Amino acid sequence: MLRKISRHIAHFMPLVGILLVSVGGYFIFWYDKEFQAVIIIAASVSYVFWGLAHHHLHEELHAPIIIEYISIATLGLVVGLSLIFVA
Amino acid sequence: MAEIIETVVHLFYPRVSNDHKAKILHPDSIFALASLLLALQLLLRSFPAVGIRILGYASNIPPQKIIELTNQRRAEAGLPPLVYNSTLSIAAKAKGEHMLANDYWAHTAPDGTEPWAFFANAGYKYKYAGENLARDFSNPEAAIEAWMASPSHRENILSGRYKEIGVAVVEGDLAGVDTTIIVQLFGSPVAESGQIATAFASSEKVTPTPVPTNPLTPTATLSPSQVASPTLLPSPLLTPTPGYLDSITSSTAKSQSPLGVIISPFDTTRSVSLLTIVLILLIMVIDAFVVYKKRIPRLSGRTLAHLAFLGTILAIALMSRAGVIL
Repeated sequence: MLRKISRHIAHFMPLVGILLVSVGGYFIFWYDKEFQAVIIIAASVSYVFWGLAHHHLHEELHAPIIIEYISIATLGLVVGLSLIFVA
Repeated sequence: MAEIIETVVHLFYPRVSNDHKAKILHPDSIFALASLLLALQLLLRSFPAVGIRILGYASNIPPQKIIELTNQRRAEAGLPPLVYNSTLSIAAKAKGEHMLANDYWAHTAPDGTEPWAFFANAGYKYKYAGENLARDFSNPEAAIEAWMASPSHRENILSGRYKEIGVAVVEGDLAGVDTTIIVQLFGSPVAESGQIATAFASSEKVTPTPVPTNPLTPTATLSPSQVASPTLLPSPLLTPTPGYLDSITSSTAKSQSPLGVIISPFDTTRSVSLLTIVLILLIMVIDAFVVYKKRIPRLSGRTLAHLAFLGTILAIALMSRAGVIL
């Protein structure tokens, strides 16, 4: 059980790191809309790849899971880019 | 009524009918939501085409306040204040109106007109010149804050080269959106004939560059005959009066808008985005709780990861603010 939890924590650390850097970058470069867009695109793509790697390591990577991560990333991407380019 | 309840439960609560996962969390539903948000953007952008005006600003930005705040920032940096120059304000107003008339948002117009042409047209002969642009800010403080956050704009504001400032706030239709544009021009008038003039747009690298000898034809150096003596500068050091500065704020949008302003694209997008993300997060938490309590085995992505990612998007939506600088 402990081994499972520690494995999950080890997997989630990079994701948390990616997301914190994204929020920080978005905040710091709030005056640069293009760079903010790059940050959101990078965060969304990284999120999908994190999902693929995580489920691959757990040996449960299947098409519906891949599509699920892509759908969530797409929603985030659309929301983020809409807010940037409508401003 | 029972059908509506059934549909709501099917959409928001994990059970057999939705394969033990709230239907709204299924990838096809998420893609549909993303498509609807995209459609909203297209709808907002199509309003001007059908004659419905939309709001790109909600502002009351007095030019005097921009000058005050600029000098405040300079004072904090130990720099002398910039002196208001009405000719620079006239040049700034001309630049703003040129952008609205020609529907562009850039330092250089699509027809190749450089920012420095407006200085020359207004009759301002400069040794150094600079331009900062901002649009769609709701207040002067936010615009100054944005400029100060950007290294190139900040360099213009805190440059020791500039002695004078002119600001215009122009309101009008930019690409179908009622917009407030702030044009901030900096200048240092020529002191001696034959000096090399230098101009800086905020987004350009701040190294001495050639400037135009006439409004539209850039060449390397101003010849002595083309440089006016300081005494020939039109009203170089006027003390601003409230009435005059008010005249620098021009508004054309309201008079051209019989339907009136009906919607703000940014506020609408932000509200809808926040609502969507909060709803999805809430349903994810309920879904995860029910599945955990009922010990339902299912093949799915990590809810915690989804929550973290969408939480990031929520934070980004909350941090987003209107206004663009150039």
